[in-house]
Amino acid sequence: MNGFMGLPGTAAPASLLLSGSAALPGDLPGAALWQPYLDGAPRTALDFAKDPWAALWGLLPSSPLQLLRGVLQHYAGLLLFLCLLTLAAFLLEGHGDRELLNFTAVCGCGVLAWDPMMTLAGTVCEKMEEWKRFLVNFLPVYGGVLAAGGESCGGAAAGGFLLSGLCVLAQCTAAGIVPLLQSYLAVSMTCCISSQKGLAPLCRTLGGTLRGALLLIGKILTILLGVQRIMTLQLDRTTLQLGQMLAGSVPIIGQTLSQAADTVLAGFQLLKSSLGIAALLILGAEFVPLYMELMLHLLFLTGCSLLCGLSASEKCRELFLCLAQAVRCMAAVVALFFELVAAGVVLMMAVGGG
Amino acid sequence: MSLPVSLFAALLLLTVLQLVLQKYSPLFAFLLSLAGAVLLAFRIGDLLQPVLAGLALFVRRTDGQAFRCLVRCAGILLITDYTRTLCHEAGADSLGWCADFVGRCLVLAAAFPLLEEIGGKIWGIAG
Repeated sequence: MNGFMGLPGTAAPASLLLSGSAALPGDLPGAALWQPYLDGAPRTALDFAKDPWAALWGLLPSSPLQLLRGVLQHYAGLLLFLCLLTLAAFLLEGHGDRELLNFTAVCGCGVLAWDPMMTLAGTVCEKMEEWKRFLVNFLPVYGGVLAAGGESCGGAAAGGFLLSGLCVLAQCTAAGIVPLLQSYLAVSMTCCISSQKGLAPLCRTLGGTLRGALLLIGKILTILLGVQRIMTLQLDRTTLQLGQMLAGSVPIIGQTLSQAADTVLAGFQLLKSSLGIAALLILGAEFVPLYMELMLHLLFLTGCSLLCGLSASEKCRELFLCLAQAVRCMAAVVALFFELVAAGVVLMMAVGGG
Repeated sequence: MSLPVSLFAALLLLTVLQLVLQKYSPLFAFLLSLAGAVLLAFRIGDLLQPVLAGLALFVRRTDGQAFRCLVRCAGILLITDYTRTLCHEAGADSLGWCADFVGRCLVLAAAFPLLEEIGGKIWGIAG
């Protein structure tokens, strides 16, 4: 990381840094490390400066209809089954043992809903692993840029608390989400098949509590990141002021050295912002489609619970509400991860200039 | 005469006949009720044939065990309900209970593959 400080010509023009994909001067230090991130951003910082809405819109998946069709394929069988259930309920209206029909229906719904839920959990795991790999490579580079820009404590924090926290979260999610979801689905199905009332709401409450805990963890970690950033900023400012004072005290060339250092630092501040925005956009372009997919799953599950309401199948409705809670929990984990990345990077970008 | 009108007219006639017969000969009333049911089933059979064929195609296309189980259960429940009502009408309450019990057992047997699959998934989690 110290190599960043020693090399000359670091003050790249602002327009070049903001453009992201534009070629930077070849003598800029460490370009091989951070340039791929600037090039890999789906939208540049300049796009956001020009038209923020259009740039944000550009992060959405290219064809939301295709995404919808993909999710619908998972639920086609389930929706057809529920249509058949509505038909059977209509035929048996006022006749037969509805409890028995509901029992068969809840078993069928459980069997048909299992695979889409597992596929969804697999997608979340896969994305978490991908994001973890990206951050393991990116955050040390970002920390290096921060250190080169005179924020050595901030750089260390980026590679320390933030990286380790995110890695732990991603690792736990990737390792635990599938078994947890399997257990939750099994318990939900058993509770909904059972004739005991109150078990299914208990399952839902468990899911709701987990979601609430995730939201709380997100808030606490964001506050911690903020406090840490303020602390590191104070330390870095003190170090920087001391360095400038020492450089300024050198006879004859002191002022020139101090001015040159200011120019170098200004260049790194710009690089820090561009790199942060690029990373957020790279992750955002992955996060938005995944979150949309989760929301579509939630929408379909809510639709299924409404269909069950039409066929007066209370057990099936309870099952779908439990499944919707599971999807909400997955969405909360994904949102927590992205929230932490965004909070960490934005705090490093915005606090302390950049 | 359209099919619904003819069916309702036949039902009305059968009800009046049964009311008369029940007073003098309950056995004939019961047989009339049974014959009426067969007649009605036969009459709506043509109407239901395309619906049933469509349902069978629907089940085949989805290729799901859950669909077959649901259709089978609905059928069993309908037949059980009719049989129980018939037994109660004939004054054979215990037979009605038996019909109910048999229906429950048959539904359980029809839904058993689904329960087995759920059990297999839960067993798979346990290792």
